[in-house]
Amino acid sequence: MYAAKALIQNKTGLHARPASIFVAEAGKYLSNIQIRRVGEENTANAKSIVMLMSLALEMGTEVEIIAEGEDEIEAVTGLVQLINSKFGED
Amino acid sequence: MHYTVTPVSPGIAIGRVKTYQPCNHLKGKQAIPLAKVEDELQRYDIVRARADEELSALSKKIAKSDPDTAKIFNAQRDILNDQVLVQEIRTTIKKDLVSLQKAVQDVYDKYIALLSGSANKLIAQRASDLADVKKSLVKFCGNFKGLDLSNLPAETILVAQELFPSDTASLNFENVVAIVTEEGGVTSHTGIIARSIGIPAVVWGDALKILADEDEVAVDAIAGILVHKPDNGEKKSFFSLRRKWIKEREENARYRKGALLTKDGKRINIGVNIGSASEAELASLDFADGSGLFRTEFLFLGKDSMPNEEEQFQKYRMVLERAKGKPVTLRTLDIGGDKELPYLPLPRENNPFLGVRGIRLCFEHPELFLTQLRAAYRASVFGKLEIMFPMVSSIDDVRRCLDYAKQARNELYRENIEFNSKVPLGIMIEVPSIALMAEEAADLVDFASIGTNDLCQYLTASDRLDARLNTYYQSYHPALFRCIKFVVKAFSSAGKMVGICGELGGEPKAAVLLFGLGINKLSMNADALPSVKRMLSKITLEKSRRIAERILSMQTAEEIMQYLDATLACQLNHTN
Repeated sequence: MYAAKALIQNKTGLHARPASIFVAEAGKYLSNIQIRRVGEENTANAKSIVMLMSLALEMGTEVEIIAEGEDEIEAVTGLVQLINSKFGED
Repeated sequence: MHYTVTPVSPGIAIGRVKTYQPCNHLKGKQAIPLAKVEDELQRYDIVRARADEELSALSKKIAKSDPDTAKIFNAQRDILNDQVLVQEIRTTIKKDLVSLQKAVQDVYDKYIALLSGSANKLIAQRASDLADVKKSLVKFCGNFKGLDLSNLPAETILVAQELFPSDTASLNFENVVAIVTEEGGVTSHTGIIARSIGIPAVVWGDALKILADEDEVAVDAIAGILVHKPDNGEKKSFFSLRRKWIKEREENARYRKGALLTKDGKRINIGVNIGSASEAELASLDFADGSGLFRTEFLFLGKDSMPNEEEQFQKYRMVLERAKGKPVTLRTLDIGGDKELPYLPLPRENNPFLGVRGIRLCFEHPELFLTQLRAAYRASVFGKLEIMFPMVSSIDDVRRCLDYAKQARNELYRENIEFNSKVPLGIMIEVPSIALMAEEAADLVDFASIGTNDLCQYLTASDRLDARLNTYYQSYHPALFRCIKFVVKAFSSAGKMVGICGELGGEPKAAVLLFGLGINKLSMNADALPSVKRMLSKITLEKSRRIAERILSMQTAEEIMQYLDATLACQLNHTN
């Protein structure tokens, strides 16, 4: 298992277009990937747009990405980088 | 049988019912034997592939004309193929031994409930995307004999609970003579589409309970009457009404072109309202004296991020150039707590109409306001621009607006960017408190435009979107006309123009009255233009003044409307 934290910095948060991009990126990895708000138990499957939306992750939220599987390190690093890139906003 | 219905797009039609019920309720057996599980799982793959094809085709079809809706269809494809949902539907079929349709409905309903319960309004809204996807899956499940909207028989009266963008995108309107929906209103998707195409449409809550396929129905979407199974006499009279309506529509079309002169040769400025800057809308500028209301909200809504100065500048410039030297009155952002902007959190308000909206929101976000003003001023060298400010309620508001405009000018000046420093600046009169200060306001600004919808709403203290308040929201309330008279008097003695940009100006008989009250600039939706022009061309200033004078002494809206109908009967009747 591998995990890392990231801060959502784009204005839209993780819905609409950024959410689609995020889910598409997560789908590229073989590992089981979960995402949650730091400090909360609820995790959501990072490959599911509906579950991701249900977490209502807004700008300024700190999230943790947890992956388990053969490419767990690449998965977490890739997704954290994507969040840090602000999805190309501003 | 006669029923009372709510018109949302005017017209008269007679035809046969086709019901469209995509969100049908589950009928028949839901349980399946173990041996059928594999079939059902395979069917899911096929159904999903078909739904995916349909969404992808719809998205491509409208990608150019309506890119925002195209994006919605793409987002729906993500939902359709969502791993968690797919897995859960498969598991439900396997474990619970239920049909594909039952599994789809149960799983989708669960997630629709989950999202619509979200405290985040943007996410709650996405629940409707799930509902749309569910509908599309159910449609392909096969238990449902779907109505092919792209291939309807001639003279169809389409009856549905509501039509979604996914429905109207595939709908072939050629054979549809009228639309009856159970939900919606003048501003709903169906209403807007129907009016833009010129198809009569009504809303009637009992439509699907009473109307069945192939029933004959006559619709009067002007008076708000629906006749179910009309007898021969009724049919005859509806056919003649329909002929008359079609003739009138054609005659109106002739009045579209050319400048408007009244019967005695007085010139009235008739503009069109612009709300999306679509090609169709801009084309109507050719038949009008510019635009008295260029709404800019469309640039800000449905976006992930705030439109920057350059983006706004390009749009404003495009509209001004398209107007070919005719005046365009740009209204600065008029938005409030009833709207959603992903990039600008607006707190939920108990009374959005009485909240931080219009200019108040701009005062709270000066960067947003200045960006828009700078973009507008930069565009001002490409046409004849006017700028007006919505929702001002005091002289302080007026001064602040003018200060911001000055600041925008100063910035551009310092940066050596070209702009027209003489752009006329005006205010919307829609809050009663500024109407009563019209004399003082007239000294500060170059013009005023009366937003009759909001002014009426605030004068009568009735939410104009709440159907229960229809009896109180009286658009012919005598107080409204007295208020308009007061504003006109104040502005004309200061030598300044007052226009009307509310819906009232688009009603022919009201237009006469407003002209009589001293208004000589009306701006309206493009579809109202021909009938207003036609009416005013049959009127003299003298007659309209007499009418206005009489009205100002009347006590009720009812009295005013009856008087206008009676005194203008001759002009309202197209045979004259």
